Amino acid sequence: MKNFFQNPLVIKQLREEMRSRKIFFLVPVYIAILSTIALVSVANSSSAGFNPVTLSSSSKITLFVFVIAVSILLGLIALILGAASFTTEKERATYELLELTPMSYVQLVLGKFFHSFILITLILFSSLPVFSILFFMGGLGYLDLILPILYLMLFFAVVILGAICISIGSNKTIIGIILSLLVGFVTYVSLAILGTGAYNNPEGLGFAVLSPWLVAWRQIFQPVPLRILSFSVPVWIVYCALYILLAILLISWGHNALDTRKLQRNARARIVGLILVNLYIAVGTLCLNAYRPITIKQIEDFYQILMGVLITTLPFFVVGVFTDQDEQNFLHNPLKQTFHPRNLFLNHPATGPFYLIALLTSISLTLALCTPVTVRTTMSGVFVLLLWIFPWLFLFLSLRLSGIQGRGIFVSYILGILLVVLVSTFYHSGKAANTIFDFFLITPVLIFLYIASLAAFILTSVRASRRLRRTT
Amino acid sequence: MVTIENVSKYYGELKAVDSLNLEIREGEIFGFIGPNGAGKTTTLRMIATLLRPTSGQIRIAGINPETHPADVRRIIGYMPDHFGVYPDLVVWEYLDFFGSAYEIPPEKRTGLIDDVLQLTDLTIKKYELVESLSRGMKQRLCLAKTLLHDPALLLLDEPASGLDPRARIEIRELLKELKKMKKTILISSHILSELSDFCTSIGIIERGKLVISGDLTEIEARINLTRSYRIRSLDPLETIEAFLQSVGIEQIHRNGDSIQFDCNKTEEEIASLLQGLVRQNFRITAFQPVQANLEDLFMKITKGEVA
Repeated sequence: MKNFFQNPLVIKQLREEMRSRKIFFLVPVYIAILSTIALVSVANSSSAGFNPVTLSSSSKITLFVFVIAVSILLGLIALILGAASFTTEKERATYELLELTPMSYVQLVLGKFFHSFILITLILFSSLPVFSILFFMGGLGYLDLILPILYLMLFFAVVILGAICISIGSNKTIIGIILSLLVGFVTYVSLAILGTGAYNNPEGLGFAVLSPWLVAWRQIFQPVPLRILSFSVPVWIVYCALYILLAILLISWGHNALDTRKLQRNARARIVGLILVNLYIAVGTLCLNAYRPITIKQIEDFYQILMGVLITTLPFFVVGVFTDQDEQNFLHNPLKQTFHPRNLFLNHPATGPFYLIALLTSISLTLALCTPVTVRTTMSGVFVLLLWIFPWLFLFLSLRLSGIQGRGIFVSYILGILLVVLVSTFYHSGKAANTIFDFFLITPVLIFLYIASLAAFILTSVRASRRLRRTT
Repeated sequence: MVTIENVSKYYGELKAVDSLNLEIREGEIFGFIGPNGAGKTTTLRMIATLLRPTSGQIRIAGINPETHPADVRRIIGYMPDHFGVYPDLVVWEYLDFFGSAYEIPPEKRTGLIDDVLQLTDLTIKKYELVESLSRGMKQRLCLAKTLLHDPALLLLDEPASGLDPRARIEIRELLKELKKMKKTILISSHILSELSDFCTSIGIIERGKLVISGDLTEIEARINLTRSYRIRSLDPLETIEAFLQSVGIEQIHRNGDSIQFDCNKTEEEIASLLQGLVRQNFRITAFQPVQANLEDLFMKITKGEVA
């Protein structure tokens, strides 16, 4: 515990950061943008003349605009800070020196985390005077301000940890930053879609509890508790619990991935991940089911979101550092290594696809358990999902086989996004498929994807084995 | 202190270290010599817990670095050949950070930092940014950082590489100082003259295999190196040269105002040669063996197979 509070890395990072020029530019620019929003908002509300009723409602709207502005502006800074955390150490060749100190890997991750978190909190608090304008307009309680700030801070904490995890997986700062911005973009868009969906349908909050904007909206405009299994629970408790779970998951993944020596032994991170994801899905569906029984259509929607999430997060299932022996085994027999059940819970990059199957199967079982939908329906959803994801996995394996490592994640990421765009184009064209379960009806696209990816896989594995034979 | 048994390390298909066996006793200064790419750094990194051997066992003070890396990390000080610094920190802050990372209590840290700064001759730079230091100074700063937690075993990977002659001499003086402090040091280098005057024993590695290892003088004797002798005289050197040729010595060369010759003669034969010279009334002012240096040793042992 003593180590937890005396993390030398935090002090070192802050000393370095406070000497760099960027922090002196960052704060004024951030406050200037926020002040502009405040000014526009005040100008808007006072143009109608002084009316206490409209002023108080416009103060609520201004607060909500602040929440969105802060989450985007500071979220970007948080992403960049987190994404540069370990890559700069690797680029400066100081990571080895850090690794050799008796500091544990958890301490390293927490050190980097607290440094970014303290900076973000400082910037956030430095902008609080701008928020004070809301109190001149009236209509807001202290909790209305404090709780959204708490939501935002928890959100930033998870954003930073996510970016740190990306930083652990990449070797170059620029790659780390681009990847985190991409992941951040997808996350923001998904949260916005989730939030808007739940806003349009106020009864079903469910998964949208993850959206800081929606919970802030609910706090400011409709402070009603959430019903889980006929119990009333304040929204903020569920939100905080979910974000803390996410943070633990990310720290667990990050500290395991930092130790390049013990890649083979890390079953824990994956098992914890599996349990946490299922727990979240169980809570989310139970929440939703308490309002109104879940229908097949909603499960289909869920699988659609899941597909988007999987495609964008899949690089993390496959990212990592091969130990030399792993690399050799993988090159010798990529298919066997990828799908060998022995590797199911090992933190071995090549075993991502197998872990994915386990993850999806367990999710579908949880869904069937917590909702009136049958196992057969949820499993068929998994089948369709896998059907669409496998070509991409083969493409990723081909990238690994052709020796592209760091860039492989980036390339596979772009390919994944293309795939999502392709699938959704067909999906929304309405010609071939009406629901996700009909996806496999778009056979020409699917057949083309399989042929292309399998061809790439066979070609690269033949070339890799030839290269192996030549060198041995 | 360090026991390496049958250790091999593969990088994919490349055999970086091949069944290496090595024993380094406490207080020994072991020079690890080999051409670039011979496997020195890989071996050092395996000892420093940064790499796992593909096969074989390593023990450091009886501890297995594979299973107890944290315990090993406390007793070793590793200075990599390519290392970075934090340019935005002041020298003492840099050391203070590593001091606290090595869990040295704050009240002891200040004194320790001053001690290592004095040892590495950086006291005047204590309050300057690391960025402003020259390369040699950064090297010494890294060494200071390595010494901070008073490690029993020092692993120095090419500590003088890329330095100008002056900085190199400073590092060498520093290492001699450490030798006096009775530390066990494993130092790798491909520049041999760097090691010859303070190593107690050496190991020569080539293509991942240890070609020879042991006491420096022992190795010299074992490989029966041709010895060189230098003669100085007040008489014309040509006459001495003629005399040496007459007793069957062929490899003679002038070296300024002295003559140097190589031969395979025993100590007794050399003594009678000197006697002969004196009997011939040559006015000899110096007759001395030229110290065989590591460079010769190295060239003799390795075949230059590694680029």
